[in-house]
Amino acid sequence: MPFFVLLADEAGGWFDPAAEPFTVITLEQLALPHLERLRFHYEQQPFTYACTPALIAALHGQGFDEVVYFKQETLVLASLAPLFDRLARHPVAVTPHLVAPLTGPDAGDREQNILQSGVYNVGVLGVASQPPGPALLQWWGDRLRRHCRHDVPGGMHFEQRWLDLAPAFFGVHVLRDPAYNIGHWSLPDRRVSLAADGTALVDEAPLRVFRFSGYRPDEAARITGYNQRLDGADLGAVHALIARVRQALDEEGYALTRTWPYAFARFDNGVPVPALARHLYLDLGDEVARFGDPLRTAGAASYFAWLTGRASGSRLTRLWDAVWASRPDLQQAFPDAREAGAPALRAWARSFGLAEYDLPATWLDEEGA
Amino acid sequence: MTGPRPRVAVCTALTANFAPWGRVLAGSLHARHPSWPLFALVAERAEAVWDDEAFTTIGIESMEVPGLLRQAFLHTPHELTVLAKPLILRHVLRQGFDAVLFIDSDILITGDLSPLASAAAAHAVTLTPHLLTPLHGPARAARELTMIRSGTFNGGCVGVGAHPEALPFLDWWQARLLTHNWLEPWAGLHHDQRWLDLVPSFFDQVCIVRDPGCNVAYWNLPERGLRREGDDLMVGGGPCRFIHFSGFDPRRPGQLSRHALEVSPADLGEPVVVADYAARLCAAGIEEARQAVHSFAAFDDGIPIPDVARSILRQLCAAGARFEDPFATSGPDSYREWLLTPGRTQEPGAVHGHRAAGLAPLWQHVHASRADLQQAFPDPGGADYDRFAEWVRHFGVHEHRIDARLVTWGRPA
Repeated sequence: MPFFVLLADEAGGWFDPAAEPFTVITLEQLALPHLERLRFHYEQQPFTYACTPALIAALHGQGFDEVVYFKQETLVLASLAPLFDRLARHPVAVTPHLVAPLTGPDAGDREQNILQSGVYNVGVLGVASQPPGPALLQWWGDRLRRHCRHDVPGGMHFEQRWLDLAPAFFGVHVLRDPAYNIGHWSLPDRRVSLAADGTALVDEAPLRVFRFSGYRPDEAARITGYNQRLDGADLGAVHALIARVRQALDEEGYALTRTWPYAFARFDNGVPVPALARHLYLDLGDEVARFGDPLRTAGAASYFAWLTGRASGSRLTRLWDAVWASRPDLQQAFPDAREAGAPALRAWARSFGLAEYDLPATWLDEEGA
Repeated sequence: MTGPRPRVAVCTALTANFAPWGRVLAGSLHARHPSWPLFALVAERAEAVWDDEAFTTIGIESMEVPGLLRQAFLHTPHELTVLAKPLILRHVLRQGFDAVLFIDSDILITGDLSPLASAAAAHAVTLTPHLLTPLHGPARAARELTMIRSGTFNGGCVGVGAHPEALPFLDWWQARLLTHNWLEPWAGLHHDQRWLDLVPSFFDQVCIVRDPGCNVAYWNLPERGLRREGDDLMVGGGPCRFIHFSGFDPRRPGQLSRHALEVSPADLGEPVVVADYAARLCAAGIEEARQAVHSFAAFDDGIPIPDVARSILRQLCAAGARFEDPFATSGPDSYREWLLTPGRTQEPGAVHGHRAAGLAPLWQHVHASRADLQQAFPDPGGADYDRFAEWVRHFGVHEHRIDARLVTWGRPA
């Protein structure tokens, strides 16, 4: 079974893709218009999520009719042949977080939590090249260009909540079998055990896909870092599976690779890209075309120069002007920040603003200092 | 579909002031399907339930709901009709029908519902999505996100069939509505509606009806393209089966929905349909019905229940369960007595960390819920007691619509 991995990064000199037991797909191989913009829209993790539809489509383009996508924190434990059989009959197969109503006193709250994160889990997703597969990928990819954010009140949980609409838009096959996607959300309700021969089982049937979503090897005692509900719980054989994950990650060099840099985390002058700069960039819409690659800092037309330049009609740099414009509290405290009150706002930025926006001091506005 | 026609019933839920909407629904339904009975669950006290309608009325108090009086107190009238959906669906399904369609009272039947009924008969649960295809245009993502926050499927039309999974679905939906029937889209809740998003993953025999003639409403007008052909309303190549006038107010016929002020009747394509619907509602007695006071709107001595009293009971959660009948006013253990008696900050449900021991829980909660009051009266149970009492008498009672008879101030603490 061929296995492809999207490198939503650059190998740099850090590793040799040709030496890996998988085929690396590069970003340039995907049909992602204005890639230099898209990779600036999001932080590292959401950017990989936003590439999911284009990755599946690229494999369709290579002639693979049935493609199953797994998020990286996934352990395949048994044959996936039944999954591909289903995909041959149903071009879109989604795996729900929960396949039956929960019971117990916190059932409603836990189901509400799923309503906030998305009915279907994108950790396991099958899309075939038959209709409506390509149409779903095109629609999903379009929405993820600008709306792959974590904004639960706004209806976004990265790429995931969009799939709540898929049953209405395309007709999808809902894989109501817990064997294909066990993660913290389905525990402890689903009982995971090991047979005498070591086979992993869920509710006595073979467990095919285990998802260690949110597991952090640095917090090895916790099954997931996303919530505390399962801390200290007896989860049967899940603990053995997590130990297996831990050992495999160690053997594959987790300790080393976690120190490697992400290629699109910094401007080309070495300054880390703050989350705020990404948000402002998204807010500018198609105006950003004039900046070219936003990571490039050379020249007066660069995004970096725009951010650090003066806003028209303001003594503040555009970065701090945008912060002020977005915050009623600052407008109340510094009503004249764009003119005579600029030094006071700068003092606030130094004392509080840098910390609130997690910015290094390089972003301070030093006019007249 | 071959074989015998399914035995079909339709049901809805309303309060007394919505009776005319039920009459218009019944008229439009029976014009198309004269043999399909319509049942209306009436979310009123038993003595306020009436009959002699073109539909069969059933009072909510005759339903088997745990803690019904508490539920009636916790929910607004509209929320109570939402809570009623699984109740009336179960009640009617148990009478032996092959398919039961719940239809909101603000829906107008404009075409043949037989395909919808056949789908409902063949499945446990039948749902109609708000949108059927990806949207186009610059607002496409924003409009789709609105639906993501409101729910993929519309709660105005839900079908169940005589199928083993139908009752488990209704039991689950009811259980969630008893505890999570709130409008908090920022937290994943939209009354009954977001829960329906989970149905395709919780149950097997689910039918998603992707028929553009179903559930034409303000949220999908650009995609549906309603038009008239002779006597028939059409959508795409087929009939318009029903229009959902969600948020419509016949007193404001120039506005299609209070939920979407930017949408006008002209956007429907056939604005005369809106004028005709308004005229039908007027003829059905909407002016007169508007006077009806909800029978769960007052304590048992007739004093109106302020909204804050409902939200406080909701915040009490399990600690409020001892008030089995929160409407009751007699006795020292009544909810209202608790609400109005000062000096109970040690009790469960008292505002945590609040120094206002001299205040009744009602005013503790009002104070705790408002930053402006906390700023103006930092110590309402102590140094600011008299000034806060003054505010209550002159402003608080009006701002929170609290009946003057409920203002019972003792001596300053």
